[in-house]
Parts: sequence; structure tokens; C-alpha cells
Amino acid sequence: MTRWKTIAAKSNLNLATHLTSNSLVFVDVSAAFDTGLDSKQPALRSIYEMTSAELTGQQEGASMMVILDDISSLEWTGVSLLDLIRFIRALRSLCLKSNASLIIRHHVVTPTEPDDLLRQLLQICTYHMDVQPLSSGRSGAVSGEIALHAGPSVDDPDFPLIPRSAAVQYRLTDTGAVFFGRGTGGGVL
Amino acid sequence: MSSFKRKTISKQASLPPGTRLSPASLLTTITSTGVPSLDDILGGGLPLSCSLLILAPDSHSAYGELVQKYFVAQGLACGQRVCLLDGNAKGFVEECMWMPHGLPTKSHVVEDEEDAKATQHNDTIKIAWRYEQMKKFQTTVPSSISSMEEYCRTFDLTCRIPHSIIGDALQSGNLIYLNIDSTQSDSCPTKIIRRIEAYLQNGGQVSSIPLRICIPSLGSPQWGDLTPQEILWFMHSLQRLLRQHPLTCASLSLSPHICSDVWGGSGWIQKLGWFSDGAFTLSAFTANPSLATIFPAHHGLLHIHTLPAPHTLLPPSDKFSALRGLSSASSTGGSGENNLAFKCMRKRLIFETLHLDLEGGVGDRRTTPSTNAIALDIGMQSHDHGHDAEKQRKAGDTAVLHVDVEVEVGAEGNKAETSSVDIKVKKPKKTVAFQSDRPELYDF
Repeated sequence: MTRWKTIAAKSNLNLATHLTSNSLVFVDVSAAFDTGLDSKQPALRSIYEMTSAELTGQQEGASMMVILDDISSLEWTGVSLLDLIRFIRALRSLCLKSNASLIIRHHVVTPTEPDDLLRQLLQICTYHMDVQPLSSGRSGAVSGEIALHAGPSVDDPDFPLIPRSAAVQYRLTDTGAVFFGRGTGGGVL
Repeated sequence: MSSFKRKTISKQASLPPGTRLSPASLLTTITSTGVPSLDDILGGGLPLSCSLLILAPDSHSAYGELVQKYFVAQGLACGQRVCLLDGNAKGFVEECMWMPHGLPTKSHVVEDEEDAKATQHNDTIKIAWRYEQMKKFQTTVPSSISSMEEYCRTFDLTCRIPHSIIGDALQSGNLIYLNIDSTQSDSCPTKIIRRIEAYLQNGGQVSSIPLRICIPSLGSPQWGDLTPQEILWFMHSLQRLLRQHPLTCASLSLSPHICSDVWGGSGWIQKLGWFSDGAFTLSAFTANPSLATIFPAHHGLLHIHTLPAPHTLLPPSDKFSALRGLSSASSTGGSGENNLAFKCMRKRLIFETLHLDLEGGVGDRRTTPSTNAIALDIGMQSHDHGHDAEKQRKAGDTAVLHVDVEVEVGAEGNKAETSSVDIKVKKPKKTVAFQSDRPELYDF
């Protein structure tokens, strides 16, 4: 949380005031799993209930967003795949009902063979943003590239999609990320 | 009065012992791992509230454990609290290295003597004039300057930690053993996390002295039968505890057999990297003789998986590490990253940039041998010649095979016999001797 605060402060955003005014709510997922490796199902249920209480507590018509950062650590620490998929499905329907957007972060450790969780995520997502390092290895001027794909349920996307062949490149700096088109970075020109 | 007022921060008063502010961010307090070159790679040192994971997949060596011992020794030396989780914690601490007894400056000189001996030779060799102005090729960062002394002590691997120091630390509560024993009920990962948490809440909050948690071999037999999920859960919970207690840092090593993707499935190392702030692999050459012959000056390669960045977007190491060499071209972040390796000498462990040895490998070649080597050569030669001459006579009696060789060697042998006094005085001429007892060896 401190890392979030200091990084947000770099872009002139004071998270502490947002936290006190309840426009930003932090749901500690790992605290729910503190009881150990057994009984994972109730923990997910309690997270779901906390989230749903927060979402229904907000006033009508406010635009809301739920960020789940990150789902792969839940999987790796021993939550069963079935429970996770059920949890995501429940969370997604909850967000649909309360008109909130849902962002899920997932680490792909084996890019060549997608895991089952990623397949499920791809099935239910509307958009799928794909951040990768450069395939040519580490570069000082470019940290990686981003592509945006539409999920299977979207046939007419609202945004222009970014195919992998024309991915947007980005570079991390001290204050934030700089985005630029391919071949127009500072180190290239 | 000017409206610009200089901010004065009383660093010395506020900072806990053995720590300093990170060069990257005023919010980050860093502490030393005990190895100056490792501190450099981390961007100055290990930030408090962060965890460092050392993977050493080679089961024939114990470099991971060595780094942990440095970590413990540094903690005890600068008066921080150390909490050790191991099956045999007492034995582990007693094997730690310590500072040499004499004056620190003197010991430093002694320590570098072996280095100097190796490099002094290069100083005398005249290389092409155009290289003369360049500074000496440096492969590692210099160890303790006097101001660093408090922050990172100079340890000597030939010294053991005195028992009195361990006793004092145990009595004052600066050193805590949490024994791991799989036969007892309180040693499953959940219970261990509970024990650490209880300790942090009892003693951790009141004291302003940093605490180092050291786990020398997570997943070793004392820990029982751990699954990958349990290990990841343990690391995740530990990281969470560290975040809650900002004066704590941790250093972990995994047992060698679980340090590779083979054990945890594909992507295992990456998963470990996500759950620790800094993750390195020390892959030693001991398992692979061909690598050991290619790089005789090093004992293994260092791979970086993750670097700690507790308060910044980019790890401070990118900017401040001299060894990684990214800082040279500042605007674009430099060209390439250096390959890093480590070597363990008689007195210390060093991380440095990977380079080929002199002359591209196999041993160093000396153009002017040192004086005692010459004397030795002469002794050898005169002895050999005598030997050869004897053999020659014998051979001349019995066999008439290899006529030309015999004649040549014979002439040589006669000369050596007659003018053996001369040879000792002047530099020996280049000679060729054929030794029948070592048939493949030609002595030039």
C-alpha cells in the first residue's frame, strides 16, 4: 500500500485523502487468507461479500471500478482453480449488476503454453490487454509493449483495438510510464 | 530572510544502526547484506520491509548459505536484531564469519594482498601507449571505504564469530532462534508464520532497532514435506508481515533441490520472483566442469530475477548499481546490462562483472617469469639433463632406434654436464629435452 501511495504521489495524487473520503477502498485479500492453507472457499466468499457491500453502499449512478491485483498469486498459493473461476464469475456478474468495471491482473509465467486460468479469463473478458517485454531482450529505451484485444463476447468494440503487430511501446520512468508508438521512442530517434 | 530555506535532515539522529537512506528515495531506508558488491547490485543495499531471495540450485556447493551467513554476521556486527529460522540455528550462527582482529586498515591491506599479487604483475607490463591513459579495468566495486565501515563491515572468511559475541547477543535478545523441526506440531508453515508474527508484535514494535529475519534453507528436510503452494504461501505471508513492520527485512535461501523449475513446474522461478522483492540465482560452476574451465577466475554466474523497488516504479538498482552498468548512458538507461558472476576467495565473497581471463582463458601467461621461478627452472633443467644424459648413455648401449633424437639430446646433455656452472649464472637458453618417463611433455 505504501508503494501505491508513493507512486501515486509522484503523479500528484494523494491517496490518503481518497481513502478517508471512501472514494478508494482497499480490500485486503491476503488478510482473508491469513488463516492458512485450509478453508479457502469461505475466504473467497468473504472477499466477495465485502466487495459487494462496498459496491452497493455507493450512491446510484456513480461510476465504479473494481481492481483485482492479482489473481495469479491466489492461484499459486493454493486456491483451487474451480473456486477461483466461480469467484471470478460471481465478481463479474456483481460488477455487471452494479455497472462497475472490473480489472483483473494476471501474471503469465509460461507464455508458450497458456494455463487453464488464463483460458477461463479470456473467455469471460470483454477486453484483453496484453503487456509483454520486448521479444528481443532487455532494452534501456523500451520497457515493453502493450496490445489490446477484444474478448469473445464483443463483436463491435468501442475502442480501436491494438493488434500485437502494431503494439504500443512504453518505458517506465521515475514519475510514470511514457507511451509511444513503435520506433518513435527517445532512444530510437 | 530568503524564502528558500535549506532543508536540514538530521540523518544521524533518526536512522537506526547499520542503515542509511537509499540514494533513490528519501522514504527508503536500506541496510547492508554484508557483501559490498551485492549491496551495489541491490542499489545500495537491501531496503527495510523487503525480502531477498537467494537461489542456489547447485547441491554440491553452499553459496546461498554463505550469503545468508554474511547477512547474519552483518546484522550482529552493527547491533541489529537477528531472527534465525533453521533446524540447527545454533550451529549455523557459530559458523558465521567475523571481522579480523587487528586494526581494520591493516587487515584490509592483508586481505587485498592476494589481489595485489595478481594485479601487480600487470602493472609492470607495458601495454600499447594508447591504453596508458585509461583507468584500470575494474570488475567489482571497492570494498569498505572508511565511511562505509559502520554500514558494511569487512568480514574475513578465515575468522569465526567469537562465542562471546553470540552469547551477548542471545542474552540481550538481539539474536533469536526459531527452531524448525518437522516432528513437532508447531513447524508447519502456518504455525511458523504465526510464531514470527507473535515475535514481531511482542518485541518488534517497541524497539526501534531493525530486525533481520534469516531463513537459510527453506524447504530443507527439517521443514517437512512442503508443496510449492505452501512455499509460495509462506513467502507471500512473510512479505505481508514485512510490509506491516517497516523496520524488518528478510533474507531467504531455498534448499538446493527446490531452486529449479524442475521441482515446482514451469514458471516456478518467476513465481518465486513475484513473491519476493529481490530474487537472485547463484548458479555455481561446480556441477559443470566445462564452464569451470572456461571461466577459471569465477565460481558461478549471478542471474537477477527481481530487484527491490519499495517506493519507486523502477528499482533503484537500475540507476545506482555500478556493477550492472546500466547507469552509463543516463537518458535512455544505458545500452546493455553486464553479465555478473561471483567468486569466493580465501577471505571473502565477491560479485563482479563476468570477463574472460587474461589471454582469453586457460591460466595466465607470464612473459617474464619471477626470479625464484627461474632458479627453480635451472635446478630442474640441470637435473633433467643429467637424467637424460644417463638415460642417453644407457640407450646408446642397448638400442639404435630414434637415432636423430638421441644425438640431439645427447649433445644437449653433454653440454649441460660440462657447463652446469655456467647455466646457473646466466639465463638459460631455450632448450628442448625429451623425457622418456613423461613422453608427452616437452620442456621449452
